Amino acid sequence: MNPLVDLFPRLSGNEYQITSPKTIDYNCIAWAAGDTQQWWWPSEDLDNDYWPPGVPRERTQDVIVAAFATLGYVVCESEEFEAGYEKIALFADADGPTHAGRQLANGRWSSKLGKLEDIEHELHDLEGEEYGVVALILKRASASIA
Amino acid sequence: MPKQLLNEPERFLIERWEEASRLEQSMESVREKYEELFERVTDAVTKRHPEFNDCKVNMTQKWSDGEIGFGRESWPGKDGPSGLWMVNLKLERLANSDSADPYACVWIRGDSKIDLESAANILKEEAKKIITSEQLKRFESKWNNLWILPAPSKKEMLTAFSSSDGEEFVELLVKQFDQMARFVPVLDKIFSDYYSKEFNRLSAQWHKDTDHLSSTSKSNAHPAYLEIIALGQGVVPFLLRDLEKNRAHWFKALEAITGTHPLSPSIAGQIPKMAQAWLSWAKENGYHW
Repeated sequence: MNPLVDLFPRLSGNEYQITSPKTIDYNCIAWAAGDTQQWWWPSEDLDNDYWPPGVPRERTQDVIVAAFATLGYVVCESEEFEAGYEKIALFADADGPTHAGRQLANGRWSSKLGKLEDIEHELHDLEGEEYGVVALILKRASASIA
Repeated sequence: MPKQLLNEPERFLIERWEEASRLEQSMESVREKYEELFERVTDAVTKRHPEFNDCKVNMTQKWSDGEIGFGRESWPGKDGPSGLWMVNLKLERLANSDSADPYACVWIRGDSKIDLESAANILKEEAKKIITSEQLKRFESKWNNLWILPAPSKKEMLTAFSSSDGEEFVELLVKQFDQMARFVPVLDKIFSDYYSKEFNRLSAQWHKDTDHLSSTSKSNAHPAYLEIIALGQGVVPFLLRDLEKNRAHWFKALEAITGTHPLSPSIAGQIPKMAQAWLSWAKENGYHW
């Protein structure tokens, strides 16, 4: 029994690696944004969840796009690796965004699974009941890395 | 013959309205004085037993037989704490020869999931040290969440009430709760075991179902999380311990239970700092975990 595969059945039979141990100090949005010090979420709770100042706090795709726009990301079409760019994939279900992962230099993707581990995986292997589907891709030029 | 509007006692009152009116006023005055004494009882008992930080007096409500109970905020029950009670104290009951005598009891709220059989065994062992074997025969009641303890009789209570400045009555009840307070350590243990078990069960479910989620709104709305909040003050030490050890996200639960907001937007999302802020607040406010 593998708890990760139980949650994300498409990981079964495909290669994925756990790349860092569990930590509850940051989450998927923070990880995709390159921040391992804060828990990012657009809740209305100003005291508990970090969210970039000036960006609305509601669980919608537009809001997540606006948050990543503060880091220089824009919406793009392709999930394929492009040299010179960093990409983020946003997952969503019927209720709104659920998860974000970031692309690695080898073209695979890295995800922090809530309070669980970071894993390296194929993009669509996290699709399913828990995270929904990949809803859009964002990118920025690698030079804009702080 | 048409039916009379007033019956005989009522007609008697009409004939002696002035006297009846004075009697009515006196009865009301006696009731007020009696009820006021319970404020003195509450003050005196909580002064002698600061471990009691929750108290309820039901003396004026029509549905009540007259009750006073002491418990702890960390014990189950909000509107009426699980704990130590005296019942049948309404003046009408004390003064009525047909009414049942007052009784004292250990009472555990019936809506909690406490293992009452195990609680009964623990309480009975303690009771053996405190009450006589004759009194022990009455200890177990027809209810499985209530255990009877000896209490002053109606006569003793009325005598204490009607003599002196009321101090005798206050002392009688304080003495009663002095005796009953000996159950506090065992009740602490019973309730602590209960909260420990419930916390472990519910938090395991919550972790299993939500640890992979980033949405704090969704995690904090999980039924197990809400059940933990509903446990109230008694679960706070367990939340604090888990927060200290694992930095588990109990922020909203602590906020909901304690009604406090020790966090600020300047540290929002910074879990170690948020945990520290809560632990500091808890230490300053006398929590132990």
